Amino acid sequence: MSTDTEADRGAVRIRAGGSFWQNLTQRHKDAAGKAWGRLRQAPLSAAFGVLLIAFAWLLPLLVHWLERNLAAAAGDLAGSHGAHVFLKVDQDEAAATALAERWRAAEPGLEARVISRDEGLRELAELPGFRGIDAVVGDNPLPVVVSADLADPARLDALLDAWRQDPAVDFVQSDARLKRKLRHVQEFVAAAAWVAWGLALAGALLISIHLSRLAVNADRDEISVSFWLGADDAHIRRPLLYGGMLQGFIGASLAAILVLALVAATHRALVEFSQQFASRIELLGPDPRTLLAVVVAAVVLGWLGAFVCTSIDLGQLGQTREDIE
Amino acid sequence: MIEFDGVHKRYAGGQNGLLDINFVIQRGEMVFVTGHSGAGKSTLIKLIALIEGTTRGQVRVDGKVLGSLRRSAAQQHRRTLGMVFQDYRLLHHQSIFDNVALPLRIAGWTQADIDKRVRAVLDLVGLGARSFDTPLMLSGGEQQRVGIARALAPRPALIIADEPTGNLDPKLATDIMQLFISLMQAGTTVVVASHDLHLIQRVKKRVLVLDKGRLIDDFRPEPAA
Repeated sequence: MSTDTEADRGAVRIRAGGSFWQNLTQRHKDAAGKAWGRLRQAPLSAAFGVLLIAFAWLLPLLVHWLERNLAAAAGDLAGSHGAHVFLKVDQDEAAATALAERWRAAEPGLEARVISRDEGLRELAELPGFRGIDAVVGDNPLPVVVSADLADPARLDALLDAWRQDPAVDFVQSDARLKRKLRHVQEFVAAAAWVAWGLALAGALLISIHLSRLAVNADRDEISVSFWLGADDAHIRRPLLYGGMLQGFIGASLAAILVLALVAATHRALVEFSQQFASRIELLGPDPRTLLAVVVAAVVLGWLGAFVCTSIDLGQLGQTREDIE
Repeated sequence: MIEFDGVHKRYAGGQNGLLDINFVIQRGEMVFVTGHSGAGKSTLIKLIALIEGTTRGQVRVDGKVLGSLRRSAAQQHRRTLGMVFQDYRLLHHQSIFDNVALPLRIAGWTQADIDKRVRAVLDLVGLGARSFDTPLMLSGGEQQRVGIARALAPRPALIIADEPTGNLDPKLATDIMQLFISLMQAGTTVVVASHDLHLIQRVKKRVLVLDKGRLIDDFRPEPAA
C-alpha cells in the first residue's frame, strides 16, 4: 500500500471544476437523478404516494368539470330575463299583437314579440326529437305566444303574476326563473368547487410533507452521513425537493388523465343515450388551462412540502451543542 | 493546529464524556488518542469533527472556535477533514465507488475528477477491483478500508479516525498506519483514536491517554534504540 504523494499532500483543496453554470447544472441533474432513483427503489411506496396526490386533485377537477358543463347548459345568464306567455288557443295573432302593444305601453322598456303558430311550429321542428313534425302535423295545434323580456327581473316577475290573471293567457313560462334556478345551482357548485380546490391544495401539501418525511426517514443514514461529511443544506435538500416535485407532477398528471378518461367514458355513454331519442348532447371536457394549472400547482406544492419537511429535519440534524451546565 | 482549551462534555443523561481537556496538536502532527472503552476517545474525535458540541470550554481548529461557527461555516469545516467512523457509516444500498465519491460530490468535484480520484484511493486501500460491489458484499475489514478511502478521497488537511484498524488483521492495520504516516509526512494532520496499544507502540507517535473523560497522560514514545 503506498500513497500518491502529490495527490495526498494535505492542503485543503475543495475543487469545483467547470463553470458556475456547469456545476449548478450538474448538481441539479444529480439531484433529479437521485430523486428518480429513490422512486424506483421503492416503486410500491412511490405508487401509493402518487395515487394519494392524484386522488387529492381528482375531486376538485371533477367539480370543476361539472361546473363547466352547468355553465354551458345555463348559457349566458347575465343578460337574459325573459318569459314566454302562451295564449289560449282561441286567441289569434291579431289579439296577441294587441296584447303585446298594451303590455309595452304599460311597461316602458318591455320588449314583447309575438311568435305566430307557424313560427312556433318551425321552432319546435328544430328541437331535438321533433324533427319533421311540421311535415306530419295537419292543423297546427300550437297557441300564439308572446315572448317578453325586461332588464329588471324583479319587475318582470311582478308583471308575469299580473299577466297570469289575463283571460287571454293560458299559462306563463318564466325562462328567467328557470335560468335563475340554474344559476343558483351553478353558484352552489362553484362554491363547492372552491372548497374542493382548498381541500385539494391543503391535502396535496400535507401529503407532500408526509411523503417527504417518509423519504427522509428512509434515507436518514445517507442524510446524516452526508451531513457529517460536510454537505450543506442545499445538497441534502435538493434531491428531496426534486422528489416532491416529481411526485406532485406524476400525481396531478394522473388525476388529469383520470378525469379525461372519465369524461371520454361518460361522453360516449351520454351520446349513445341521447341518440336513442334522435338527439345529440355534447359534454364539455375540463378546461386545458385548469389541467395545466393543477399540474403546476402540484409541482409547486410538492416542492413546498419537501421544503417544509427538510427545514424541520435539517434543523434537528444541525443541533450538536447541548447546553446542560 | 487543533487546540482543546478547558473542554468539558456532558451528555444529556448526565454522563460525563470529557472533563477539563487541554492540549495542542500542531499542523502535520500524528497523534493517537487512547484509553479504555468509555474513556472519551470517540467523544474527543466527534468534538473535532463537530458531530458533538462542547458543554464548556473551546475547541479551536486553525484558530476557529468550532462552537461559535455558523451552520454554513461548520459545514465548510467538516468538508476540510477526512473522517473515519468507528462503525464505518457506509451507505449499504450504494456501490463502493459511490460511497467513496460521496464527499467529492458534496464538495462539487466534476465527474471526471471524481472517477479519477476514487479509482486512485480505492487502489490505495487495495479495493480497486471491488468498486461496483456494495458494502454488504465486503468483510468488516474491507468495509473499514472503504471508510478510510472515503476519508482520504477529498485530500483533507486533517484526518480524524475513530478505531480505524479495529477490524483489520495486523498486517493490514500496519499498512493503514503506514498510509497515515505517509500522509502525515506529506503535511496532513492525523488524529487516531485507538485502544490497540501494540499498534501505538509500533508506530511511536505522540499519544494522548484518556481515562474516565480526563486526559491523564500526553507523551511521545522513545524511538527504538
